Amino acid sequence: MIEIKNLSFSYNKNKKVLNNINLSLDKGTTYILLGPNGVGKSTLIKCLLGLLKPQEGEILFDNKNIKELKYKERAEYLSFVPQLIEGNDLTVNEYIMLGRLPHFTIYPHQKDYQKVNEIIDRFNLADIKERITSEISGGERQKVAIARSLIQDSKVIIFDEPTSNLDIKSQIEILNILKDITKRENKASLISMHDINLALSLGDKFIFLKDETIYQICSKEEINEKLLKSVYETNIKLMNHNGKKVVIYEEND
Amino acid sequence: MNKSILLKKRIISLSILLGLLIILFIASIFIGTSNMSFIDGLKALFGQGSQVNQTIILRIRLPRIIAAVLAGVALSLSGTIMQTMSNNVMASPSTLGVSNAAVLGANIAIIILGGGTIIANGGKVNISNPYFVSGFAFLFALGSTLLVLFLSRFRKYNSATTVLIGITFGTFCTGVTTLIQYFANDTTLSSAIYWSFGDLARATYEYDLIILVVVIISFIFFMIFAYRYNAVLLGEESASSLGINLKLFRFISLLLASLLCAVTVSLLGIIGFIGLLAPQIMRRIIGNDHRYLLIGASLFGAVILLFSDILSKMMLNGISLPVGAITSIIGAPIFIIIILLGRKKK
Repeated sequence: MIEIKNLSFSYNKNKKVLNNINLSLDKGTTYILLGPNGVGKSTLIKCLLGLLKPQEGEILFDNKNIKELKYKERAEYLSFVPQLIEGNDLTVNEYIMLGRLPHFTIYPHQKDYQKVNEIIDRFNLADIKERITSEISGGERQKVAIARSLIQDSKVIIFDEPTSNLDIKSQIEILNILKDITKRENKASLISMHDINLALSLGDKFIFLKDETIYQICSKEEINEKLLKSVYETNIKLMNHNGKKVVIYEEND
Repeated sequence: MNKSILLKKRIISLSILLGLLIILFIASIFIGTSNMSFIDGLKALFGQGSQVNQTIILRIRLPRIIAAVLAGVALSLSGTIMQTMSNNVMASPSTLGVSNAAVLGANIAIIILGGGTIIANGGKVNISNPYFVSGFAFLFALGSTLLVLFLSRFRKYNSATTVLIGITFGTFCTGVTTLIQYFANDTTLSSAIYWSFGDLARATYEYDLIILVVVIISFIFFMIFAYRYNAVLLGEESASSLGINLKLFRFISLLLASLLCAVTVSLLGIIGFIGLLAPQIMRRIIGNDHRYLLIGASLFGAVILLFSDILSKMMLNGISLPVGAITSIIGAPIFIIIILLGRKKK
């Protein structure tokens, strides 16, 4: 569905931030983007969104080069949920409605209002729909942003750190919503994450970035301690807890 | 369903502003530096009574009041869009350097090119060649906008960059203006300084028409894309994932916003604070949904400027003060109060 071929990007000529990235995203799959800070996760996301133009390689949406697609056409493929959105003083209702922006020309149609109401009911946001997004909790805000991206009806949703800055209860709630999305709507999601334990309980495919390029793409089963240690270059231990993989940090003696 | 609480608040706020605007507009017709009675004013308005009174009402007061409304709308729209597009609540016509560039242009026209000297006529002061000076001011204002937008491109159109370059360029223009004024003779210097005072007394129906055309075009554009401005509030990544060609949209929006300011400043001089104040206050009262914000800020800007104009005519008996000074003097304390109140809430 979405294919990245030999993509390289640099902000200046001396140093590449991304080097020869090859990746394809298929529907019904949750991809987790992992890797240390500064490895190029955000840059990769910006390239996919068309905000940065890679110097080499191409990005294809259903075999069509992203460069040849209009912004509106790109919005049919990709929606984006930014890292915990700072309040911007739109109400929850107004915020979610923006997800329909690619579908209407000037002002929303009846159908768009209907979609907004449906998602508000589904996410139990009715009580706060007139509240301003800067005045609701972090978990609620994340739900609102996810609701917005869902009614955009895109084929792929990109999430940037959807669970950071949330308490554990909200993290789990968001996690369940994210799991549900891929299964129920048959979408692909690409989720950038730092918390490996949350990632392990969520993802189908894991994309490890290291040294400006893709170090490995693997399934949950294929993740082992050696891989994690070499990606993060730190002493972490992979344990088995009731059949689930759990990562802990091991102190050096 | 309490669906309508917010909507009600918005409609009430907008209605109050519209009501105020109409009241101030009508009151303005009868307030001025001449001692005309209400009845005489009313007669003159309908083309009756003495020729002098008719001239005062129809040729002096009315174009001035219309200019106050239009300039208030223009500056508020300009400020709203500049704030949204640069993602900076401090952005306004003066922050992007547009006003300062207009002043520089006017100074060059008046002092270096000798485009305007003061003609005093019965206590009223005029620049001898207004269109020449305004034209120059306009070219500089527009030129500065293009330059600031062009320069910001080099750093991938970062919102903060645009404001920083704007402020820096504005300071540069002020510096050059000061140098030019330093070498000017007394007459041209006073003309140039006088020009930069925001003064609605300059307004004619022709000025009104010019501002009106730009206001209508921009307003329609802004309202059509109201939802896109809402989306811009979510940040670059989200906005572009919602199908907006952000570079192009930002360029056109800032260009129109600057055009609004350039036209107003070059015809009427600098009128401070409205572009910053009106959107800020309305964002707090009716929220950030641009469908309402644009209308609210326009109305509020018009009300403030009209009110300031009335004050400027009433403060000193028989003399009308430059309205630009009044807007800043009443705007600044209001603004500080709002900032302090806003802090308390959080």
